Amino acid sequence: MKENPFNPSPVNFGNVLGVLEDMQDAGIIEKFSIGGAVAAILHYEPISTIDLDIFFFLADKSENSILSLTKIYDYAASRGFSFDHEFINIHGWLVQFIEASQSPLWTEAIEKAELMTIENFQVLVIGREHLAAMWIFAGRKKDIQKIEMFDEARIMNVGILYDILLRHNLLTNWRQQQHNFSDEYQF
Amino acid sequence: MNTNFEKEAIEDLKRRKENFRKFTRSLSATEKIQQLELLQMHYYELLKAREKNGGRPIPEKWRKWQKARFENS
Repeated sequence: MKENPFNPSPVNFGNVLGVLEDMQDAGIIEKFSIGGAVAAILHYEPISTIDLDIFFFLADKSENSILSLTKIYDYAASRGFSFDHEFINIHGWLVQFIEASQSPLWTEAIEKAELMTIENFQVLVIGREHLAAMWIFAGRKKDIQKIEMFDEARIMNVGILYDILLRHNLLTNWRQQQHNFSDEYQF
Repeated sequence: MNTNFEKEAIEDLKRRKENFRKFTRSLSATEKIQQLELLQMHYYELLKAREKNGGRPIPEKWRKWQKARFENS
């Protein structure tokens, strides 16, 4: 651990990852990846966010996404985790579960996610270019700002990004916003 | 127009901000999450102080965040 002049806080993120692995072992979810702002943070630098987005596949492919969330909420209740319609409170982290199989982009994002070590866990984190494609699809101001952040950092591979946008019909969305990005990312 | 003192103060602030960003980018994944948790706590304290001093109320999502942390503590 590096010396931190900005006073590190005690972290309980590993407990959250432990719960996610337990959900895999219990046959509730199959594969999962960290997405959203926390993924952006892991690729670059901390930004403001309150929640953790988990993109996942169902262990039982025959079930629909509503049933899958029921299983997740049942699991949360059995572990004593509080929840509302949006988040499950896992060890103090607000976790949002997003079933990914209905979206080809989300599915690919999980399949091609990068393995990172967080505490003692090996965790899949959605890659930079897929995150950018997901954000351009969502198109909110805060999503565009995260792409700008990646642009500033020059951490997106132009060829990979273009390929993803092309295959998932997102080039028009990108072009509508590309005035916000540097010359390198003009398509 | 800014005085020299103000200009220097702004430059110093920019420098410190950039140093902090460089520092956070150099952290491991685990350390970045730690840093995020610290920033969340600091940000919530700022929102609380703003509200207490007659400013805008703490946004609902941040109240939810604080409740989740409190439940867990």
